[in-house]
Amino acid sequence: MLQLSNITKAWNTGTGQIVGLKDINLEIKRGEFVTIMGPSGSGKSTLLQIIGLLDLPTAGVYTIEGRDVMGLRDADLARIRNRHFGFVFQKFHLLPELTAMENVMLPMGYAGVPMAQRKIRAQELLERMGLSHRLHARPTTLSGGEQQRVAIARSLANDPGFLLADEPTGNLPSDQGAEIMEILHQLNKEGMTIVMVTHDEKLGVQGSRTVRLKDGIIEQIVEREPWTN
Amino acid sequence: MDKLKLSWRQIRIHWGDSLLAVLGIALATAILAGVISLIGSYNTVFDRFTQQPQARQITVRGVFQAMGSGEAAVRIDAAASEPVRFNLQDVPRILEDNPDIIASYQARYIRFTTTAISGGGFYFGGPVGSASGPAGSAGSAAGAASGTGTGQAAGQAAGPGPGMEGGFGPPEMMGMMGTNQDGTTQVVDTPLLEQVQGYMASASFFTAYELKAQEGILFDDRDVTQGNAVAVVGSELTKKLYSDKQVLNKKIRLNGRIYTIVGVLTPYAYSTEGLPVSFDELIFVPTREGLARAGAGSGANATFFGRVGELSFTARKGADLASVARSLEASFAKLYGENKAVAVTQISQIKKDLDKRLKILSLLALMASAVGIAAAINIFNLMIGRVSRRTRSIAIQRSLGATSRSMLEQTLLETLILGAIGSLIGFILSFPLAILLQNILEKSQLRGMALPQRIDLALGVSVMAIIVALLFAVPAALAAANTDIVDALREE
Repeated sequence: MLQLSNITKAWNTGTGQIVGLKDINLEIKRGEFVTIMGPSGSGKSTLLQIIGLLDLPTAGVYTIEGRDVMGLRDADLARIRNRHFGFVFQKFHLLPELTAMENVMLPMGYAGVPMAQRKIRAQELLERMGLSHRLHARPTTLSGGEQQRVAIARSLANDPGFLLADEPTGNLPSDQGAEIMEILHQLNKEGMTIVMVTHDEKLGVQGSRTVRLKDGIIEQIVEREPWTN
Repeated sequence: MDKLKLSWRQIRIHWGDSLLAVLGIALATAILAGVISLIGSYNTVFDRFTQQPQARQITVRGVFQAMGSGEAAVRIDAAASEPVRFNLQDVPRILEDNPDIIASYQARYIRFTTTAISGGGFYFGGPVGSASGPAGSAGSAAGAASGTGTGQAAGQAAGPGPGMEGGFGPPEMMGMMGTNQDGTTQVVDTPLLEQVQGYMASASFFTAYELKAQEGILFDDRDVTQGNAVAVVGSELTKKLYSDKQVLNKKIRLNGRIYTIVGVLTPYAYSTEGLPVSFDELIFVPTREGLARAGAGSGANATFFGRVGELSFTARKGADLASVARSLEASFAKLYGENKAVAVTQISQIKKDLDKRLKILSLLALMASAVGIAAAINIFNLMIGRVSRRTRSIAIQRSLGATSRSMLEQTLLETLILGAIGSLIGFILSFPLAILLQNILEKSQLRGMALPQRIDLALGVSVMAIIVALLFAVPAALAAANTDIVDALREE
């Protein structure tokens, strides 16, 4: 379980302070599909980054499975990112110099998984994403949908508890976007906790809970039945 | 493994500037490693040289003869119209004055021709190094004169100063007729070489250079004073002179005069630095210009005669050569007047020669260092550029669980690969470069010197090149480590 209590994120500028998030209190339980919505600049991506330990809040308490992660060293934060979170970005963010397989193997490398196991696991994941024919393709030779599927495979590499997706379909044509959403729902059905940032209402409502942000404050939380297509 | 793979991919993707970086490092390493190892080699050789007999030789020249050398030129007495020549009878007094001297000798380096000369007799070539006399006419007798004499064995040579009346060679030996000094005719063994190099030297030359006989004997003072035509041959030359390698008692014609070989030298125990040729390749015959006495006990009854323009002395081991040289000059000044003789230590000559080279090499090292700094700055710029172009990639890796330290390591690893390739190429190239430089720098005194390859120094420079490259990549590595993940992921 992820628990955010009074999380605030502010940046100092020359002229004053910009507040990105203010007193956010949020709990994300295992198995949930949480969508974070809000207009541009509402702080939804910042919230996701803080959840994924890509960024640290300026104030508040954040615990992951009951463990306070505030004030952890860089290496500890990196290890938690590596083991507990999988990231899927709008722009895929695959390493262009590596093949699909190598991209998927990368997080396992940081986790110290032996090479042979990495290869087997990466191949399994890519096959599961329907990319068995593109294992050794470089990202630039893949379509957007394929790249995002590689990114999802990569996010699952270390079997994390939480998959954090920031506008995962934002750069894709609608059919490929739908495919990606289908994969996310399937993963959620299998027990994966998913936190997805989107500005698309149609996608937002697909979550079992929707957190609406406005000006860095939670405006509304809507709970609903799990999505069925 | 992943880091290595990623680094290598980065290098390959940006192969153009990678190549430039590698070439820069290679060039700087090659020159610097070549120059430094050559400096080290020269110093090693010099250190070795100081341990050998060559280093302990001091030559005293009359100032007129020394005109050619810069240091002597200033001492020339303008009023002197004749060259200063030293009386050999003064040598014992000089030796008494200088207890650090263990031998005094004369030696003249000569190229001898071994071919027969019509009419026989003795004939000495003119200037040093010139082959003398019309060659080969007396050779018409070759083969006709396999003598029937008894052929004196080595035992004869072991006697003090064998004379000219040695027996004929063995009957089966091919030979030619030669006319002896006293007019008698004898068989001369035909050597395989038409020319040999050697010294006309006084007997103490052997003492000076610690030369010993492995077969037969060395000639002594009496051979010199009596003008005996005896020769001592270097161990290598014996093999080249006669195929059967039995050289004792053989007669050899050198510049027209017939000599009996009385001894073969033990292979020279020292290296040949400072020598034109190894003693093992030379032949030695008594000087005809007189005798300089060796150390105490040798040639006590020898007669000294003649005047020479140059005398050589050997200092004992461990003596301060510079002060011995000054003391010698003082002795000569007492006998011949102030500033009439100049004592030059062989070691100072070699040192001067070496210093010239070291100066040039130091200059080259300085230039190579400048190239090295340029290469290092290039690495600095290259890696900073790469890291700044790669911030998103770094952020992605960080989001996947890479620590900032691992980003630092990856940047350094990439530099290490570039540095290692460049430095390896430089290391390999440094050897031919050192040889090339040596060939350019070589002049008379050190020519033919076998330089030890200072692989250790070249390796040291190569490792240093890698370290410098890594140091110059540290700012880029720190930038990589401190990349802000969120900012970098947001960048377009």
